[in-house]
Amino acid sequence: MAFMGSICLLYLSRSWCLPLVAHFLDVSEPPTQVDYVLVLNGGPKTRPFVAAAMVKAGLTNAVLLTTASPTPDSEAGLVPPEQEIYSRVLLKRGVSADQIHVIPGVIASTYDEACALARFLKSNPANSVAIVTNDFHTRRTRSIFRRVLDDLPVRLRIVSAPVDNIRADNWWQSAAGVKIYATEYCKSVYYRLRY
Amino acid sequence: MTAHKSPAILKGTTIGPASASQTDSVRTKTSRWKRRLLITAVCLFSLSLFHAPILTTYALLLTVDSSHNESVSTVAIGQSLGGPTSITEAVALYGKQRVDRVLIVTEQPNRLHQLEVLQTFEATAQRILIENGVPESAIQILHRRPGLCEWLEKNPKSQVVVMVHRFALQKEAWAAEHEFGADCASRIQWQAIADDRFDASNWWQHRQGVLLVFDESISLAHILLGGTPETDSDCCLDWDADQYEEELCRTVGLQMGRKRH
Repeated sequence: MAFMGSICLLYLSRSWCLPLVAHFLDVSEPPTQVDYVLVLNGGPKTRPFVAAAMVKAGLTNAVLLTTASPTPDSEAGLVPPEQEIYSRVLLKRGVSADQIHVIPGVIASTYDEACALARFLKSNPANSVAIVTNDFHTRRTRSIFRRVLDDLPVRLRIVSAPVDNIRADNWWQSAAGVKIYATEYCKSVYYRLRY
Repeated sequence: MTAHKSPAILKGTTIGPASASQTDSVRTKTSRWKRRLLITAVCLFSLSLFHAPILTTYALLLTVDSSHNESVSTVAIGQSLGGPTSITEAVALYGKQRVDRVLIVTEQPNRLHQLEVLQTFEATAQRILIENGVPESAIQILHRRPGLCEWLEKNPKSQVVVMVHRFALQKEAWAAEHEFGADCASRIQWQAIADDRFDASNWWQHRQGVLLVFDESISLAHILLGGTPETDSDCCLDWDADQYEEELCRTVGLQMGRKRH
């Protein structure tokens, strides 16, 4: 009876509770002056646009990209590789080619991206780096990047890029929104256990 | 006599029915919890021992029978159906003369298409099909998913093979019933696109397999629980990148102005 009552209460207060689920994952900060901007893979529709905006606003002079592991579609030549898409977006949005740097090494996860940034910063020291990723991804990003770059004297800033049509106040109304948040929570648990 | 003895002496001895029943109750609860732990351990052990057939069966729940009826001569492909890989599958089917018509289901252009960073799916599909010997007369562009339904209604005796990712078959079949109605949906044959990396028998051993099965499970559950199928109206852009850039530049300009003063 108590269990059913709790379920009913949760259902009735869903429009209040469910946005909290999304807000918990968003720990982003406003963009600010940084030495580098690292754009994480996995969100070509918004992330490189935010990075380009930071360059155009004069907040940074250098954008870092990583090389994602190839997909069957990119291997077959049906679509360009993701870092190529990012580069094209940045160039179209007014970022010059010499401001774009691709970190060597193939990455397959957020953890790999953190390791790639750590390797890059050991040979190219910086005071501050902004990491651009989607809002739901910011908490896990902050956690893993802080852990991996713990021994480096660099200030990290997590800047969020939105997801089209999916916000904290409506994510549960679409399959895409439910997928995004369910996957992110599962990945967060996995990262907590694994790293 | 016992009423005058101190509690310290009486402790641990059976002194009456009330204490006996309390002890029995504690023993019963302990044995109940032990039994529950044992059952849980046996279940976990069985799951671990038989994880392969269990996970394979689960993945098969996400698929439908996708044997190709040789009499179906039309294939449909789309970004949200099978993605770019379905283009090469359609080329292969045409080359083997198993189909003589290719329907391309268009999508709402997204920001990357508008910026001309990427070709639209239909442009890519047309280019690749023509490069591989499919004549333009055999290619038909359908305006988004309702276009497929309209084509089925205009061709009431025709069937169509739709190329879809393996674990999305069940979801797409349910979505078609919901969107197109039973009659049109019954004339769709679902064909799984081959994936060299994994299949139903080993998906859990690959990161992409786990993510795909998880995603499609959620999509299927969402539809079954009354959610609307994902349509390409989900691709409508509600974030303005230009406005974001303008506001950021304005904010930074204001901050710089304050610092100077």
